[in-house]
Amino acid sequence: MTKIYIVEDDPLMSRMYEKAFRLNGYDVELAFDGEEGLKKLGDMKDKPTVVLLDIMMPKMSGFDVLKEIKDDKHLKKIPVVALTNLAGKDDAEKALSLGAVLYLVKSQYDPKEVVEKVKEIISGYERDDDVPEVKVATKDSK
Amino acid sequence: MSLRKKTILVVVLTTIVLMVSVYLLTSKILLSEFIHVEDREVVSNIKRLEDVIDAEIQVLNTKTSDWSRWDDSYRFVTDRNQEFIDSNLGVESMKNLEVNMMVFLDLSGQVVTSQRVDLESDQDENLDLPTDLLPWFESGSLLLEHPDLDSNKSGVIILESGVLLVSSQPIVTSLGEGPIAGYLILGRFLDEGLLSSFSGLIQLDIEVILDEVESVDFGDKPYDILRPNDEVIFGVTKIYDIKNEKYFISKVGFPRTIYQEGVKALKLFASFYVVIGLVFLVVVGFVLEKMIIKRLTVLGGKVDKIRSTRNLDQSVIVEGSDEFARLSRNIDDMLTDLRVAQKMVEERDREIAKEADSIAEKNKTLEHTQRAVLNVLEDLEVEKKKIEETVKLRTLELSEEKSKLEASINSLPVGFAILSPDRKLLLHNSSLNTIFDWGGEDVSIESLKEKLIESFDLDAALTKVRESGDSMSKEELVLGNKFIKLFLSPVVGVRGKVIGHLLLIEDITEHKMLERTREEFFAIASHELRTPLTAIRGNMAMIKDFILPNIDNNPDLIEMINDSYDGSVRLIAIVNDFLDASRLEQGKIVFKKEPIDIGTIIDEVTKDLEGVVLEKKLTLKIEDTPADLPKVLVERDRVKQIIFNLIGNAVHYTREGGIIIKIFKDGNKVKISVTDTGVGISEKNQQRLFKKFQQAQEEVLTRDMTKSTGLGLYISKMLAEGMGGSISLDNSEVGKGSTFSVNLPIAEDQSNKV
Repeated sequence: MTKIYIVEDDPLMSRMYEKAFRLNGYDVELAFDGEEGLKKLGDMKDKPTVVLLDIMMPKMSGFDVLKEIKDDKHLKKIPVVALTNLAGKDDAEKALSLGAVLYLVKSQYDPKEVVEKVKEIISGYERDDDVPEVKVATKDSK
Repeated sequence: MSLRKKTILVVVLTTIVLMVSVYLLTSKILLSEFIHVEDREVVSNIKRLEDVIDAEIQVLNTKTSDWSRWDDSYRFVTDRNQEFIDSNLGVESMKNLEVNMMVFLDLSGQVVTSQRVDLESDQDENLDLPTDLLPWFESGSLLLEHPDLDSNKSGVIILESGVLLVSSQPIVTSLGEGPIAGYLILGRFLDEGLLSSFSGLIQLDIEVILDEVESVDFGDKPYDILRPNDEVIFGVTKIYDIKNEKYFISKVGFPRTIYQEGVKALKLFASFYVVIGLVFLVVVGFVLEKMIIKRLTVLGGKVDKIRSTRNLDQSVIVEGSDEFARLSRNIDDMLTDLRVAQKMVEERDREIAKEADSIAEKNKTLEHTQRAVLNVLEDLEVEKKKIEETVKLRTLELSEEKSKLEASINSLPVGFAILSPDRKLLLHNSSLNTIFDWGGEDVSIESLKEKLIESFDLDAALTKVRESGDSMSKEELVLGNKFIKLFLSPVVGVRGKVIGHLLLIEDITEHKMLERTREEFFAIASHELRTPLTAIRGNMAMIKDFILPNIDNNPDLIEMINDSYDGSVRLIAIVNDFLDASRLEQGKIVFKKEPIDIGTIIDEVTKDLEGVVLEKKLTLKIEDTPADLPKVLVERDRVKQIIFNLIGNAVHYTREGGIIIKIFKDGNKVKISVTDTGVGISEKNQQRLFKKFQQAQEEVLTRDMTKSTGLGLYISKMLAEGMGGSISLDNSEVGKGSTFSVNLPIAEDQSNKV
């Protein structure tokens, strides 16, 4: 089964996305801070297909985790989706420049939509067997 | 003396002098010539006399030889016969012979017989021989020296009784044979008769002088010439006797005819000369007069007249073609020039007179003015006193004002300081003290600088402000544990000169803190509000998707879940709008602009709204955009936000009909207008349109309106204006519909296509 790795410090969010992916038939692994996230990721035998990474985390910020992942030769090929509740374009650009394939504002997407986006990434990834095209997806406020 | 007289004098004198000198010269030369001639004549006359005397002596010689070469005489001398004497000698025969004496001498010199007669008188006596003659008969005397038979001794003997011409010959036979028997001497006195006969002969006056003559100086010459007067001339010569010892002076005189002729000629010449001279004089005088003097006089007279009458209008031209005429013409020209100049001078004089008048006028005016000025000065004095009073009053008022001002300044919550141009602290207020924690310390500019130095170089700033004349402000400076806002500006005087500096310092620590708090709040709000909301929404959504389908027949639950979901969505939207609006209000948002094709954005928005449009059975049409529609310089997401707001509103407030979207270039902007057939907006509500939390609603909210936050247009307006555009309600009518439009700036490099 396809594994999704979610690194998110907020339990509300964490649980929400876990349900979303589980109920859509994905395996989900969780981590609750940056450090733990990296370690666990490193320790995994089967690496996840996609990493969902929260940016706003205490101790180690998502940006730092992202950097670490992308620096690690075993991990850098894994597509990382950056999640945040910040709406700043700067953050989006930063995340993407650090190697994230997608940047999502949590409050704008239903979990279903997040799953859809991840599906797209997986299919794209599987298709090309390469780092998929970097996309920015921010939804407009209505 | 006049020129004429002078000229005449000169000419006359010259002529006279000339004539006289010529005359004298001529006469001298001529007369000397004449005298030479005369001299020669004298000489020749003297010669003639001498010749005559000689001739006479020769005659005597002849006579003597007649008697001396005679046998009778020969015999007589020897025998001294009386007969001879009686027959031959006698006074008569003497007279006939024209000799004065005849003396027969024997060989020893004894007088045999002698006869002497006086030829001039009637006496018949036989006179004695002059006693002084006797010595001549002595033997050895010259008279008796007859070396040979035909010798002859003749000449002159000077006796007391006179000059005697003698001839002495030896008496010989008629045949001239000797021996000499004796001697015969004949003598003839050079008496009057003889002299006169001589005179007659040679036509000269002859005089014989035996004494010295005084006036005669022979010098080297044997003769001398006497010219006692102009009529006669005498030639005087010495005639030596036979012995060449004694002499007598014979004088020949004759009229100086030559000389006189000469003199006459000279006189004639002279008179001729005079005549010529006179003629010359007259001619020259005439010519001079006519050609020069007269004309000169005329010219002089004319010029005199001009001078005396001071009238330059007269002509001084003298006729002619010579230098004089030219001179006169030149003078005339000069006079003409003078006339002209004179007229000019008269003109000038007139002008000057006029000027003088006007100056006099002006002087009068000046006097008036002067008086007026004095009056004014008096008035001024009065005014001055008034002003002084006023000044005192004002000064009092001013000091009151000053106090008020000082009080006001002091009460300012902002630190206030005025610095002098040389950077001394002139004035400051208590707020400044507070800011800098100045207690009882000396308040000084140095202290100020020192306290600020870590974050701000006051000196440099003062220099910059002073030189540029611009003010400077620093929004945020750290002062110890405070934040301050600093404002520095030059105080410029009336003439643009910097007369000081104004320094304002505001303690913004609280404000800053507040801001920080606010920022933190926003940061937190963003995150902390959204997270739970997201959880609610997300979970609700999942319940909807995964749980609800498994619950049958619980419409209430279904509705509750749906409402909760919608509420969470709406709440998220509200929170987002709120935060957005606040950030925009603060001006904290910086737009990242890029050239955007607005058409694409509109297409995306219409696509997003497709569902709602279909559901409400509305039409949504985008009119043809011009092919050369330029791109707009905006931030993509934000412009999409605006477009979404407008079209969304249009869809939202339209129940039936449709929405038309137009895009076109409008000036230097691109205009997008959205026209709907919706509910429209009343006049009253139009005023509140772009303001916060206004929702122009005439109708009850439908379900579709759940997403409206009331901030949409407000945010859109701020976004549009923030990006350099504008948003507006073009028109609206209740029940008919509305048209909103947004103008966006054209991206630069395409504006050239305009």
